[in-house]
Amino acid sequence: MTYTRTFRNLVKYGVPAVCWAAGLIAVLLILALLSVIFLKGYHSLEPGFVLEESREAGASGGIRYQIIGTLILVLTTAAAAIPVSLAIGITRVSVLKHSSLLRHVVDGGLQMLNSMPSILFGVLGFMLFTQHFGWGKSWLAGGIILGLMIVPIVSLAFVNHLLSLPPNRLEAAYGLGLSPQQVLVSVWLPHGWPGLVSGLFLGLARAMGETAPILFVAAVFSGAGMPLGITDSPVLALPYHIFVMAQDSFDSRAQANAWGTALVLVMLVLAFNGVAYTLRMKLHYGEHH
Amino acid sequence: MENIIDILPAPRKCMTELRKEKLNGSTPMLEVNELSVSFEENIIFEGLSFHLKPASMLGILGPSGRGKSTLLRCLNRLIDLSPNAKVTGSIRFRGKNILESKVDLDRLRSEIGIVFQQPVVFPTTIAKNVLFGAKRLQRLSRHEQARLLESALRDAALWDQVKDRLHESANRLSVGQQQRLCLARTLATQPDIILLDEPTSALDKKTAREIEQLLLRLKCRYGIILVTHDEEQARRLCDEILRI
Repeated sequence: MTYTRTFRNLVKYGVPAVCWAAGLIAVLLILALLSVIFLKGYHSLEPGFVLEESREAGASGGIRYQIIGTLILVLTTAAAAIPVSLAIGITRVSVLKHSSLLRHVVDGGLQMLNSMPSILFGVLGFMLFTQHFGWGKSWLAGGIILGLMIVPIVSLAFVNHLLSLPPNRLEAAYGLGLSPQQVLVSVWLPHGWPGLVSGLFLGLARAMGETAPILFVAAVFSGAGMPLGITDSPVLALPYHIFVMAQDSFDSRAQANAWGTALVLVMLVLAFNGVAYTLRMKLHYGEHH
Repeated sequence: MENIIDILPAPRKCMTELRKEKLNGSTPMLEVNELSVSFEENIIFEGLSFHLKPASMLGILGPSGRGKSTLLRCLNRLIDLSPNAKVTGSIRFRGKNILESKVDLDRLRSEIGIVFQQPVVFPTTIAKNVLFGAKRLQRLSRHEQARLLESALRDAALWDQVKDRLHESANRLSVGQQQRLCLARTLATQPDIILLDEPTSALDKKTAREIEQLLLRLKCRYGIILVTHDEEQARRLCDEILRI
């Protein structure tokens, strides 16, 4: 009797305590990370830092072209990932709806792709774009490779949202005489947008911080400005800049530059997450009110 | 399976002399012969035969699980959305068997509209809900859209309640209003036949009576098939009753 009561009390108070502790650890970790980056990086954060070009191999000057290069890569990544993810999502809920085997193959393939180390995408891009197509280092190759890398994140979020569509809405739309194409455009896609948007911004936030894939195909450390073509048109990028600056442990200016760049990158990632959250809320509100 | 058609003697509210003649003399707009439906080994119903005359209401009565809703879904081929359904027999609409494979399903479903038991509103405005099917099935100018919107909402007895908030979300309407909105949406596609799947079962008595009054008015202009488990309702509204 006493043993049962003790066990019940343990479950009653212990389980919520463990859950709270786990949540607290997650919050503390992110707060600690952001605090360190902010405290170490805010000294560098002045207008000249984001508006000027790098000087002295990055040890002084600003990070203008690193920011521009990162934004070019992110926009290209979005342009590459959106059509592929849309196609996967639409195929998943329309063509594959009656084939559980193919559905499992597609879902399993996406999960596997999602768990691939990012450096493998870099190697793939190097073999395909740099060696086979002879593009040299190219912002477009970097964007495409990053786009392929985030396709699983975007398309899984999109598919999961599509699959949450209440079946009675489909029946109502078909019952009005709409063709499958019209149902796709007027029922499936409006329902799936929030998932696509969420997945896209999460994926872009991840892509923005990736160094390994762009190291092979798109980014150089210095000597690049605005790309003017497709082939042999590398870009500078924030994560690569941090990577190189952080290795220069003897130069305090380089260290400060690395922390300042990290802070800018974090701010960009947070801004992307903020946009994703706002869009998701707006689309969600439109759906339910 | 039991398959009885009762012809009710009492004239209904909109039964003008003209309409009575039409009922007695006109050829059926929909003829169902020996209709059977099964899902793999499970037979839902078999050997059903009945017909629907123009400007009349046929009630389909029966206990739960006898396939009333499945029957409605056969009549505009929505049953095709269920992958394992097997349908045999014939359903003749405008002289053609609609169970044949070459039938234009989209057109058929716009001509035989359906309203479900639970109102299904799309997550958009009242106006866009009403025109959801109509503006995709035909090219309509803004003026035509406005006219169609008003006439459909008037026919569904909803215009006076929503005319000042057409661009508000349809989700804010009460369940009864949502059901009338669904009816307006179906009417806007200008069907010949309306299938109603227990349209009042999710409503309170007062709202249900309002919908019934509305249906009595509509049956002067449309062929209506009403699935219900409420015998009193069927007797109040329907010209003929099929029990399954």
